[in-house]
Amino acid sequence: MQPTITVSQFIEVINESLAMTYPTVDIVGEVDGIKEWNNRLVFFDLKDDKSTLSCMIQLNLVDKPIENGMQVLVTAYPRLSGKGRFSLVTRKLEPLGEGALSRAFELLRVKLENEGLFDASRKRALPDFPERIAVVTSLSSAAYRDFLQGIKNRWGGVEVVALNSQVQGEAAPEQLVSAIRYANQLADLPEVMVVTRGGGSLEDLAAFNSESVVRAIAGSRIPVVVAVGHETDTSLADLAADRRAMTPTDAATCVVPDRAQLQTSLASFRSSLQGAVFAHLQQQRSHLFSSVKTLQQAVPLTSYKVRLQHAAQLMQGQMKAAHKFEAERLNSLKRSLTDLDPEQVLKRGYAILRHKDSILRTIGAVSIGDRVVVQLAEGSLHTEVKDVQKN
Amino acid sequence: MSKKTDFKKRLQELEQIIEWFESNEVDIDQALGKFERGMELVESLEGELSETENKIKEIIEKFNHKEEA
Repeated sequence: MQPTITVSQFIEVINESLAMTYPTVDIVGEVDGIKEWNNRLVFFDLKDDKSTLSCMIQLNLVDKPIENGMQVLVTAYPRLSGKGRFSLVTRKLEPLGEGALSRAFELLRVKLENEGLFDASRKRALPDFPERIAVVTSLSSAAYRDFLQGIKNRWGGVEVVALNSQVQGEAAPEQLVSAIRYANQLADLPEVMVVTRGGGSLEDLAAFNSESVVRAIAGSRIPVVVAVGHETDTSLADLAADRRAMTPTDAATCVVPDRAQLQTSLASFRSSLQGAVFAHLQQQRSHLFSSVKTLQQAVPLTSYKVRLQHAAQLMQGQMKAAHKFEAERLNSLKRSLTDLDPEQVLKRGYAILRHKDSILRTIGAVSIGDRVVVQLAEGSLHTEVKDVQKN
Repeated sequence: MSKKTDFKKRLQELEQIIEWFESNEVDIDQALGKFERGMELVESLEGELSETENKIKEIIEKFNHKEEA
């Protein structure tokens, strides 16, 4: 006998099958027949020009206003109800309005996002002072020239490996992928890569929204800067990049430092160094001065000076006095001497007597009739002794 | 060690020296040595910055072959 199952069992089997095969699907369609139920659930139809599917979503998961007729992206899993009703149990409902990426890109975006390709945690830091930079772009484009000029203005001494690739048209995605892969297998690996192009229409930028290019960027072991020069929309390549720049010139700003700024910093460092040492020396000098002052105050140099002066004065005074005394003595001796001067004595009326050239001192030294020379103050007398009389 | 990694290290060393001077814990014996080293670093970094040439290597043909190491 053939194995049989019940209706309920079959529905369960179908649901298990569905859960395994389609745990989650992303479907684009138009909303119709919105119905709220019990303030807890929202039922609606999702349709395209040929078919319709029933959807159900919890009210608390609806975070944006939904209207009938709106294009939406539904993230859901399929389920067969106990009543045999096929529906999509929706976990996410994204309106596709104006300004958003076009439908196809949106689908791709969600898919890649769910794989984690755009996660913030995957974004790598760019090197501070790269020596080798790869740039993937059309080498005949203004974007390329702008990028090179940007590098040249800011920095020097780098090597730029420029890889030519079309950036729009059918061949573009393949060439972009080739170039990115080529850069990644260079023996002398560049430290950062820039993938860039100028602005354009959504069609022009299609290559930057293609899956292969996005995967190549996400899979690059060299950090990638994507610079697609347009103001409004973000391409998928932008999302996958380690860093997004708005223009090719902006990309140059991201990858190399600013020489001028560094020179200013270095000049200021130089001043700081010199200033710091100068300030320190000043400090040491004034410290030294104050130490000397303290020392001077501890040792009373001035009082010593005064004492010395005092002593000097004292000595001088004594010298003067001594001098004076001696001078006076000298004078008195001089006077005495002057008094004793024979000339002076003679002037006072005394005479010097000589007999036979020797001075006569006693009366006994002569006899009567002897010649005696009498020397007076202004001359001499030649005399003869007539008489001798004792006192 | 590549030149520019060296650049970053030297810049960091210089920044550390400046910080040391600004910290006010300046010892005169060390100060002179650090001053000399700091000025040395400033000179060498300024010298490298004045280098202006970039080397551009353009690859136009298809990237089908792997580059020999």
